[in-house]
Amino acid sequence: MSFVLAALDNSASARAVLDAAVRIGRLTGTPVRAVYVRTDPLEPFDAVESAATRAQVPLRVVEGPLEPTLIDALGDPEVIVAAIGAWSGAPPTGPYPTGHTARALLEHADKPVVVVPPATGSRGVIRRILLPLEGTEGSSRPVLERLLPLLVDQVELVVLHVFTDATVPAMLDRPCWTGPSTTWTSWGGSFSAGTFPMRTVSSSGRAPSSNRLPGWRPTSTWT
Amino acid sequence: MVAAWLADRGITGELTLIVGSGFGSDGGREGLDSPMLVEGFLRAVVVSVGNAPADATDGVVHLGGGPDQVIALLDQQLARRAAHRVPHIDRDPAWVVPLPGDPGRERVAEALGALANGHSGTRGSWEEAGPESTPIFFVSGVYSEDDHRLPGPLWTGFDLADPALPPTGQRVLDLRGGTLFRSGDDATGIRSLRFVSVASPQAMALRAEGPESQLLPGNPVRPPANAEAFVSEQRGHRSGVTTGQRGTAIAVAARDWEVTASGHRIVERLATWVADPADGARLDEAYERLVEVEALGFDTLLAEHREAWASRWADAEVTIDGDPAAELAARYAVFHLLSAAPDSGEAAVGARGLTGTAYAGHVFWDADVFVLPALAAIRPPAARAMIEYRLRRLPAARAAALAVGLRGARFPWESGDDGTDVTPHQIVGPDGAPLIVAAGQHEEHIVADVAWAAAHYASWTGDTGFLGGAGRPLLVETARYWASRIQTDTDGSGHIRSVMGPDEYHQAVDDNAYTNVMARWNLRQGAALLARSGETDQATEWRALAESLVDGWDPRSGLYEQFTGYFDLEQLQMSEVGPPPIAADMLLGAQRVGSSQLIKQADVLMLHHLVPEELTEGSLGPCLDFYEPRTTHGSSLSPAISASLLARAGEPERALALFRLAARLDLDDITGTTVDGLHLATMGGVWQALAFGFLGMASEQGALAIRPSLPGAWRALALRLRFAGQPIGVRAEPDHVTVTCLAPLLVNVGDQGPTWCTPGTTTIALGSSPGTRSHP
Repeated sequence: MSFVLAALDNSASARAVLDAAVRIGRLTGTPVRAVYVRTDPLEPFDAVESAATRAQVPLRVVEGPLEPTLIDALGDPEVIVAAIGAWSGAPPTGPYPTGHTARALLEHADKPVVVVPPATGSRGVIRRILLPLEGTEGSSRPVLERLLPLLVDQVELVVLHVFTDATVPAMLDRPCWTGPSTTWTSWGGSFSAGTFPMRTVSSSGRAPSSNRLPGWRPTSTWT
Repeated sequence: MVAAWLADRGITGELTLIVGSGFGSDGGREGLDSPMLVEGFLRAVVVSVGNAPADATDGVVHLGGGPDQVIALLDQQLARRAAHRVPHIDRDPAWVVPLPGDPGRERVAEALGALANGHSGTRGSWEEAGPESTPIFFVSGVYSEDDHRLPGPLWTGFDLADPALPPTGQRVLDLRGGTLFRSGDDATGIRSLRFVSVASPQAMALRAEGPESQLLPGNPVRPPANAEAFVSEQRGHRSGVTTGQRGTAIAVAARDWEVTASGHRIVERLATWVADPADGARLDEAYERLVEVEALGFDTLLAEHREAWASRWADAEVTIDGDPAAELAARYAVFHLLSAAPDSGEAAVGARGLTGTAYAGHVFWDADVFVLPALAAIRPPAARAMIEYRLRRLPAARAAALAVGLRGARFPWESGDDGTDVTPHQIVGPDGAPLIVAAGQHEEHIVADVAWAAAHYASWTGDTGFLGGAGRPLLVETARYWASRIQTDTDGSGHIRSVMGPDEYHQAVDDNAYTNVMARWNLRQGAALLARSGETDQATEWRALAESLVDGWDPRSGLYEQFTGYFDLEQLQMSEVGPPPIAADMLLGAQRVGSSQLIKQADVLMLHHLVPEELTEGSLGPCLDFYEPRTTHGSSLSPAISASLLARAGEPERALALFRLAARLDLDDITGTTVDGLHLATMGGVWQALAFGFLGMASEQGALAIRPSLPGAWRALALRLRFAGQPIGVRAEPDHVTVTCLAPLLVNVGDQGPTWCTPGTTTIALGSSPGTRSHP
């Protein structure tokens, strides 16, 4: 039976991870199960246990090295989505906003992994999912192909077209400060066609949240 | 000879069937039919009906059977024709461009596969176009009320058998024959061939065959997506649709013939259109024209179309020995240039031709400075039609000048139906506040660009009467504009303030060198025409004004300063940003780019491209050395012009890298905007880089200058074109140039001095260093 896996640790983020997993469970119509990896046989895990009990989520405690054991748990074919805390202890200072455990899981995952920051509070039912996609065949379509079949509840997907250094077009005939010109429309159209080739997509201009790309850029929404 | 005769009719390679009985060697002697295996029949289908075992020659299909087999083969061909089977094309890899098959790139594919004849254009969408597709039919110069080019009814659509199944097969654009061919598995796929006739400009044709369950022709003509107003009707077997708005409409009438047998269906569709921007389209007239098209029939239309394309290529062929990829890309560019403008009337050549919706079909300097020089050489009547478009909009240009208190004619940065400025002047920004779009207000160089195009046309074609006659107002009225626009300071120096040059990273600058030098050139040209008609006082005044204009020349550095204060900007170079091309305005922001020396495209250098005679001799090299490292090539107009200049400056290898970028711009969708149409100006630039850069051609006092500068990978570069009223061929190899002409032609090869080429072929040896800098 399919389930959402909540990977818990002894940190404060366990509650946030459980909460996110439960909300994802509602979205996907699947139950939630928690896993706690005990790396030290003497390590107490009362707090984790009570958090799982409060959330009415069954908890499995396994012993072993942290990252390989979690990756192994994620490999269970019945796991459809995993949730894990972004970090424990001090926030990471490097270029990635995750700790090494979450990163290891992300790097080995072949299914959706939701990384939950510790301070995330309960927000109720998930009504909208933001999908930043760069629109390439290799990166965007697999995300949609894996994600969409999981969703059973009503949800709005907001797809944000993101350029990376590798995907940003090399030329812009109308200067970017002239606003949402035909160039933006072209990019939006190509992105939509490449990302959802067989589906109906509507595009609209939205203000950017970053000042790296001054002017407007189109976002595409699919509801 | 037979091969050439057939090639003149567009029949080449695989379209030829050669049947004989003796292709092999017979005891050391060549077979009787071997002389037929000439180069012109290299890819022909060769069949031997002889019985000799020695006939097993490579590439020859041995059928045997003697004369009876010949009759059977001919019967087979006649049966194919009688059954209206989809014709083949010659899949010569040097002349066909496969379209991308990935559904995510469908909109790019249909732009790449667009067919046009200058009058109308149809994108290369699948017949059973799904939601990923944007089929479009345009008629040149027909705009809607809000000055967007009006989408016409669609004539290539079939019904979708199963929306879940993507189209099958492979589409290839046949550049030589001007057709779009769709190959499909004989048993399960759909095959088709379509064309927009260049011989009968209002005829369009499509033939398709495939399984009955999949090939569902449906209505032969349909309204375009999101059509706001259309009329659809049926008259007997014919269908018609009109789209449009008050007073502007396009009507298309079409008819299908259908044969279904043993689960296999063949559909033949003929279509025609009527559009008259002034009166609106009458569907009755479209039906009448359709009857005329039907009388010709598909096969005759195709034969005439192929012959017409063969004739076009006879004046436009590009050959690059040693670099088949560059050759194909160059031919692709020429194909779309030849498709962009009609041969008569007026040609409103939008930035994306007839291949997409970008820029609403508006006409920019792209047409005058990038496309026109190519067409003046490979299709002069089309270039003349482009000039006619400007001539007919002189009243609007005069009114625009008057509206800002000036005289003469001010052509708009973006021009549509009536020649008023349709540049978007203001848009609502992300925070709801209005943003000013400066291009329309400041890119005044368009005024001189229009004049330059007329002068270039006259010089290249040898149409000496044009400038004194019909073309005169384009030079005189534009000069009059500059005469009223220039501000003279107390020291007597002339200035043009608050303009934008081709480099759009720097807005509202003073004394942009490009604008000022082009204005100076314009004033001198105008003055010469006035002097010829006896208006000597005005001519003298304009010449003095031209002399007074500052041009940014700095003798100490040997450079032209792009505009006043440019040298004081942050000395940022591309080596500090990243390898070009880069849309630096997007990556660094408007303010940073505007306060630096980074430029979007050739600005000062554009002068070396257009009016080298206006510049200090020897300034090309220093200006290239200075400006090229600061050029982001963030404009699709940029790489080809830089390639041309680098080649002229004796740096063909650097030129080749930029040439490849330009030539592949749409084929590789480098800008991410090919979905909305092909970049015609880039294609014009590609041809110009070949002609004016690598071959180093220029029209100089009636002589054709040729100063080749070939990259090492190119064994030879050859162009067919027209110069001074006659068709010529120019072929450059590392050590010599060959010129072919029909009438005596004055040439100056490698600056060795003028020499006459007599009719026929003349070979001229090059000096020891053909690649050295030899031009201002």
